[in-house]
Amino acid sequence: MKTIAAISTPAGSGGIAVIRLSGPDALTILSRFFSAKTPAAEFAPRTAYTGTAVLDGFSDKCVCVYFRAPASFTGEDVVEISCHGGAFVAESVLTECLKAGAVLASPGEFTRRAFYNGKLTLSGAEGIIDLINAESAAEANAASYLAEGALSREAKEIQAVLTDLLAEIEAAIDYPDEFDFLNKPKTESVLTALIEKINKITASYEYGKILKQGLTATIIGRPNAGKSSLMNALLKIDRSIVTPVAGTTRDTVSETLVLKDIKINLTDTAGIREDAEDIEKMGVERSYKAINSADIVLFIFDGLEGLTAEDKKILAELRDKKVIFLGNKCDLGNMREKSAIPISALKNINIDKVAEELYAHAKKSAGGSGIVITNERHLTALSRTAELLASARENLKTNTADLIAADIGEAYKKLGEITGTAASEEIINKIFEKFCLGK
Amino acid sequence: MKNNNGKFDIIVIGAGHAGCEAALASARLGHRTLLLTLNLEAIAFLACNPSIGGTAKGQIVSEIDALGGEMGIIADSTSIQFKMLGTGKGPAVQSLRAQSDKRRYHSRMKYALENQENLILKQAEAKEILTTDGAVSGVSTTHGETFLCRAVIVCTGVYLGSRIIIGEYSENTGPAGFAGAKFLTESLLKHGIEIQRFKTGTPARLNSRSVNFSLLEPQYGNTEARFSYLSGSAQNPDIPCFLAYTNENTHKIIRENLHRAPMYSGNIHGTGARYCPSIEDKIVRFADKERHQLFLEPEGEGTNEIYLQGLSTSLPVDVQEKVVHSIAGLENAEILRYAYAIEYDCINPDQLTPALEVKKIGGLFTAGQINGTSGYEEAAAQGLVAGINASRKLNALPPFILRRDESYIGVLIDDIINKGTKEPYRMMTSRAEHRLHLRQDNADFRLTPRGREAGLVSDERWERFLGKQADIQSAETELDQTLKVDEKLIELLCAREENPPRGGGITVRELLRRPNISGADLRPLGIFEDLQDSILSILETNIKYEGYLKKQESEIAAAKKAEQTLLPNDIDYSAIGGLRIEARQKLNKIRPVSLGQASRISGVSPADISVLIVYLAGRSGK
Repeated sequence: MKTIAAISTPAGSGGIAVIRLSGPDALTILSRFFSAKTPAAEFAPRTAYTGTAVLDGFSDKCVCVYFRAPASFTGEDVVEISCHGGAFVAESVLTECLKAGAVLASPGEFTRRAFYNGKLTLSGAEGIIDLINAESAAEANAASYLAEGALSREAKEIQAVLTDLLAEIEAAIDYPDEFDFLNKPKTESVLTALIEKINKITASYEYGKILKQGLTATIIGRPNAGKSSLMNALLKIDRSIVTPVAGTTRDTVSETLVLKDIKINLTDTAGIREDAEDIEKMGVERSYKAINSADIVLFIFDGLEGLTAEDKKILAELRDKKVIFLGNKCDLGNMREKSAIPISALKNINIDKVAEELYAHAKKSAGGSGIVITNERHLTALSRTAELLASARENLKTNTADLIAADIGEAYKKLGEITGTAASEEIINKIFEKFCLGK
Repeated sequence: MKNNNGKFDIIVIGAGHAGCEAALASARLGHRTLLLTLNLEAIAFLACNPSIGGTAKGQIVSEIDALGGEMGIIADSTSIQFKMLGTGKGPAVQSLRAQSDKRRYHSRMKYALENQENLILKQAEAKEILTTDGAVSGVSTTHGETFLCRAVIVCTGVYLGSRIIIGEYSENTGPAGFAGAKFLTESLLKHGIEIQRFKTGTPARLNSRSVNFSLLEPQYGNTEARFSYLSGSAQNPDIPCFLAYTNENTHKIIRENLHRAPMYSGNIHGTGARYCPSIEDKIVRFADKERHQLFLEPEGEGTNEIYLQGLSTSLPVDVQEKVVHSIAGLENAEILRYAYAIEYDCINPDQLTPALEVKKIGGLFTAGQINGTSGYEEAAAQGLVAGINASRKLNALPPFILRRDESYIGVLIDDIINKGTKEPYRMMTSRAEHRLHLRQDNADFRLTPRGREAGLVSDERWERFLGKQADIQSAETELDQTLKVDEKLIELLCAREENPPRGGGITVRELLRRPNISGADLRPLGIFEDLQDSILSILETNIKYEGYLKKQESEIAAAKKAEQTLLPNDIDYSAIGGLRIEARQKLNKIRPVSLGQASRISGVSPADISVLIVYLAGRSGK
């Protein structure tokens, strides 16, 4: 088995970057370029060692931790090298690893090896993939929750209730002489409680999505309302060209901004106006598209003029969207629209307030269940489970035990996609544990 | 070979429910067959309850019939009551149960065997299974005879190494006073077959003359339905069973005498089934239950014997007397035969191929209770499949394997060979993941074409089936006709608490989809007037359950992928990292042919299957 290496922190800037080695030669490879008081070959497992990595033309202070097989993430010998952040340093460390005999890991190979060595359950593996892709602190939190199986635990609890229900239904089916049928009101209330519980968890997906993919905020306004200036002010970097000529931004421009633990995807759009020329028209179309995919819209207008007829037309397109109103140019005179936040994109006035609003909106999406789901497959499994339980509740009306059992059985299976457990034998055991049956 | 007393193609050992079907199938498929039995009087003997069918088992009997087996025909012609169970719980879980006339069932089956061409029936005890080069070559008997053959089907039921226990008394003998099979276990062990010991039991039989029926609730049959697709409208009597209950006094007597129950005194070593608990077991495990239900089942028309279902026990006879007399209606009951527990030898069926052939020994098949199952129906089904497969083996044809998605029989065999049996295995509808499809009413549609292929479906049965198929097809054309919403229709909808349709018309299909509208409701409207009830009910179920059935069909299609992912025979599972130890051992032992089969082996988890998938991907990538 070859030893593989890869940078396991996301590309881009960060305080530190982690390079991971996995395979039988992990320590030997490290010893080629890393010097510390204790030689790498003598590292004790699960202990942090500081030392110097001698890289191509420079050196970096790093912290290394060795995990001995099989007590590691992949089940093989693993070394994690934490170097200073930034793509250049991390890539230099990786290059040294490769020079020393490691092979560049293919995507997902660490997880695959872990899975192959029996180190991961299905939902654990997904959580770790999410962890690997974590881009900000809160997301890492949600991901580690999953890795520890919070969702899996919750799903197992629901499965346990379903097992009890199924045992009762199956007993009624297989032992018609002994059992009449279910207690309808009780079964109905159990099903309803489960459906509500699941709905609460699925509601967290929106927040989970924001944690995972970031909150998508789109800046909309008439030409020259100050959209690009606002974007720049928010990013505090000069990305779009700011000019006094109306209609310069002909395309949508996107940037990422991290507010505390939430990632915000900011999109600047072409100014929307009715009489746009051909090239601009395309930009306007893109703006409408950007509106569609936005979680929230920053609507910016000239605060001195107030909302014009054209502004109102654009607003009509934003009916279904959460909108933050921003009256620009507050440094130049009185605002006519009192409900809007007065800002000056150019003079950087009240920009922190805009950021606060964005952050508050992102946080508001968080559900109260304590569990945040970030994986679409989990959402689908849970939503389908709720649907099936609702169908079981409906079938209760006509007493069709076979269909109720089919619905609940499939709901159990759907949850199995999260927990990894299958039913049948367990349910049969339950029948005999719970009921006195048989001749 | 010395003392060659005859040469056969196939020898069946044991003439219980498995052995009878096995021998009939083998002989009907043209093979010269010898059926050995310890006692001709014990042929197809209903050693426990006098009933055939029941939940899931009723489906099995109809499946046996659809394939061309015998059980359904004989049950139909000898039963004294028919009841459809599970009515009102949905069509998929309705099962037929018949109260059988024990004597007549036995003699009708014996007569069928006696009249079967190619079949020789003989009362003799098999002593040894003879092999040459790891393949079966004959059977010797305790009389000193040797019969040569190319395949053997062992169907020893509860007779193999059997021991009866009643309280402190025990004796090495078979059920109901019949002798046991004393030598064959030794022979099986010599061939390297692993043996385990199971236990079952049967309740007392009472003289009906001594029962006060006025205190008991009668239970009559409720259906014209029959197991066999050949039976038509057979005329049967409707003799009732009676319902009785244990009481606090009964429980007290049992509790006070628990120390004399062999299950608790340690006198029984075999493993019993949870679904067939003795009364002492029920009272210990469900101490808070105030009473247990008992059914008094008549054993037939020409006898007073009553089977006391629910009161299986191995308590001593003096306690049995007290227990029975503590029950209302049975105060003066005379016990004709005491209840007993019986221990017997069987094999763990994980030693078998899907054709029910012992992996280690070519041509050796086993069927019925020797495979760790329980129940007449489960036994008969295996006998039929083993009979077909032994015969196909001699003809060098590929094995006859029923799938889980087409039959309960497929579920049964797939379960036992992949999971083995740790207690007697009884079929339950909940074991069948495709249960909505595996109904009592459509066994012929599922299996008669398979039976025809196998060669057991007679021309008569085939013609009837084709006729039924044509009827259902022509009935289907009526489904899309639109009915005018007239007074008659509105009246029907109101009576069934259904809303009238929007617009002026509704198709027959849409009407049938309504939960409260039955096929029979439509007859007064001039729809399906000439259609048989049995066909109409299939049509109705197919429409009402359309969504669910489609879902199951797509699951079946998905499962087929796993079935078609073959596992090469040379895999060394112990060398695959990531497989749990138990999974490695089980996979090495069972050696599944496909990923689908592997996934059903007990001890192989979904995570292990993922590892196998990764392993297979890696292997093919090399």
